[in-house]
Amino acid sequence: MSPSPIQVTVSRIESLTPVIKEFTLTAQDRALPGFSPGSHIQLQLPTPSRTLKNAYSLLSDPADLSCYRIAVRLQESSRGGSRYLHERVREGDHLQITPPANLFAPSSRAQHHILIAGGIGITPFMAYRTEMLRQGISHELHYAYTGGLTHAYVEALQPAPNGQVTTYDSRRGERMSIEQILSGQPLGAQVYICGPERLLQAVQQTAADLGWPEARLHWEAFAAPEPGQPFQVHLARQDKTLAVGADESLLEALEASEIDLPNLCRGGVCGQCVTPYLSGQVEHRDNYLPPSDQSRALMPCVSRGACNSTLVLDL
Amino acid sequence: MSHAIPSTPRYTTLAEIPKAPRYLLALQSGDTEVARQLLQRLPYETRLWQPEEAAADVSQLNTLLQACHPGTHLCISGDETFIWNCRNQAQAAGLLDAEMSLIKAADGRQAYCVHCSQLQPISQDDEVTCQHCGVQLTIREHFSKRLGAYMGVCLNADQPYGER
Amino acid sequence: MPTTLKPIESYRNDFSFRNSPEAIKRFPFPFPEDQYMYSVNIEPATPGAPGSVYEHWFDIDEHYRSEVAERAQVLSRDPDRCLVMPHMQQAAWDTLEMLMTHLSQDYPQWFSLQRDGDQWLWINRALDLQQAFTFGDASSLPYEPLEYITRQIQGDFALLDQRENNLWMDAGMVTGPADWSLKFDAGMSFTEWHAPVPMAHQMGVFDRALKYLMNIQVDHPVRRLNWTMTINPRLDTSSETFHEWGHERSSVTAENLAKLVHLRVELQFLARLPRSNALMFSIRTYLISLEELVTQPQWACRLHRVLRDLPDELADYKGLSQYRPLVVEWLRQFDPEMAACSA
Ligand code: FES
Repeated sequence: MSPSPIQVTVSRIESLTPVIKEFTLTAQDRALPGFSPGSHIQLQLPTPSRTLKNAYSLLSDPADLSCYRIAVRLQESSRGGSRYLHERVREGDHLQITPPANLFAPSSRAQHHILIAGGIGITPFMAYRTEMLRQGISHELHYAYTGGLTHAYVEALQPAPNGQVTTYDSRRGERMSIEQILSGQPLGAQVYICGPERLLQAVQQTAADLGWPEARLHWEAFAAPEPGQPFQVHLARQDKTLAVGADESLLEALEASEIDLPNLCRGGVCGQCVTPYLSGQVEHRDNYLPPSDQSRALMPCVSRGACNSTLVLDL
Repeated sequence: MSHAIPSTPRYTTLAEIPKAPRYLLALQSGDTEVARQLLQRLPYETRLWQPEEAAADVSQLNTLLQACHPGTHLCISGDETFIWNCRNQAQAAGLLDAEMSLIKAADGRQAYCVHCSQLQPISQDDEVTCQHCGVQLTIREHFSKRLGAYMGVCLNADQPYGER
Repeated sequence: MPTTLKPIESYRNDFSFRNSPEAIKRFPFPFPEDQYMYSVNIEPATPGAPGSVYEHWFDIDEHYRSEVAERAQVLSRDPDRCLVMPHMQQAAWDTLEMLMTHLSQDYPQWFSLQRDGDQWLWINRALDLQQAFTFGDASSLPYEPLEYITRQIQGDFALLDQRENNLWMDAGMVTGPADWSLKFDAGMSFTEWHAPVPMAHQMGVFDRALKYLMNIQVDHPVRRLNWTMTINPRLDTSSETFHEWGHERSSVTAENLAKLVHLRVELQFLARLPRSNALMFSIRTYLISLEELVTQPQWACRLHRVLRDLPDELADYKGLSQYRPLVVEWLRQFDPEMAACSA
């Protein structure tokens, strides 16, 4: 069962950089629910071809429920969600969102939080920092971006006694040394990563080299699903065949024909949309299923069938 | 003894100690065979904390922990009371369970009397009288890591204090 | 019909606790089928029928004053029944906010809340209390926030921290549990504190339940019913006091059981706490004597079948093995045996 959507008005749009816009969303008919730092919402985008649902981190102050703020980077290779937001959505427009859910919460047991952001990955940490500064929680932020392109919020990030800020502008050749960041940390340190896949991998690798167990690492891995090849899917129980287009996900194709599956992240991490399949080749793109389950189940929010065989789902 | 349940603690064998860049070893006093094997197995530079008394003040371990960084693996060897005291001290310092190996080298353990909230050392027996409130206790398999103790509950509610 | 709060009755010593006919009618009888089935039985906590125990998130009934007085008694003897680990401070404030908000919305005749930024004014007319305080500042309240608000509400509360893919019982106010101890279980993971429950682990019940609970979202709480039996209307059947009440189980006779034996039903309610991302687990307990219960013939018939067919292992765990045969024998008169239990 998916929670009922919330109607919001886009009350303000601000261009932060040539490729990043901030959207302020205000509730129409009811108060906005409270949220914790690291939470995201799903935004429904009625693009001309179909309705997309994209997940965005909330960056606004969790203590302020008069509005939610998100920031969206225009993605060149995207399936149209970010382009729609950048080019079609206007102040005063009405949109639908899901209530916030959190798959990237700070650990209550950590004594020092190391936040590592790449580009638009700064967004969840904006909410983290607001809360950590208010509560006096020890943290440090490392933020890599490209000056003049993805430098959103750089000026707003003021260092504090309990929260240092280090920025790295690639235009100026400033490089983040993950090894230096992780070395010499206290035993109570845990690290949070949000940014491109290669940043995540680099931190994971360095942490492993230094002997940090995985439990010290937290990451926000989801992104809008990547496009792929078109493929066919057959629903065994309903005896129905659907075509999934190159730039839509299997989950979206199912939803378009009124088959609603539970889902939270739409990015292959939460495990909600797990669906059994009976035959066919699957391109697994999620971060959830253990390899042992991959021969029986898939995550339709990101994973796809191969283009030359029909995928048969147990639905 | 009754069956282990999901809260009953599990201990590691020496062979299961994972590879780590650095080790810290907390050894209960008394030279056991396990301690000898541990010292042999761990690298030469391993830091060692071995208090003189069996009921040691584990806050001394904290001083060593404060100088450590993630990547340190803590091996604790001793009886259950010693193990959980050290483990809780290390956890408070920020160490995660994945960064500790608990090796049971002796039989000592503790019971928590659920009626008067006091701890007492016990043997492997399943029945004991609470030293503090006098209730006759049965010792369950239910274990609290936070208290480092097994749950002791009134054995016979019709005669809580036994025959007197 | 609006609830009338009764004067204080007791859950100990002379056990003056009774249910009115209205309270009996709204009792959450936990067996939807004639046969007992072991299941996870969790459902979304959507608002139930007006007047039912499911109408509001937090049910206030005629026993409100008695339960509040009972909690105060337990705490005066054993203050540690309320426990909040340092990292659960925000979850405690979250709880206070959720309870005050819902109580004042759902029961405006008794509770009101005025908020002006972080300056709050709480009025509890049922207990004749008024408190101005600064939200987030524990020193502006007479007790720590979790204790302050749960001293004014029915039911036990555990606050669960969500981390490392598990739920951890790191705070709570538990003065009327069904044979467990918050002091002992505090700090345990979901799997650990359910360890003493027989059978369910092997069935994978807890693994599935844990996944479900970790996905509970803000404003979308869930609930389930659980049950056991208690001798006398005793709310504090904690492990802590077992040596004081356990012997009552052997005092059951065919003559006294209708008054002595009570069905004890827990309405468990789980809600996401928005700011802390912790989970609130509230356990609202309802007691009904067999004498009161058999005024509803269908319930009497069903309870007979459930108790008769309950696996021994579960009967042992629930602590009712000693007197179960007597109760089953007595309830048989309400069961037509061959036919279904009908209303
Ligand atoms: S919706 Fe989260 S894994 Fe698919």
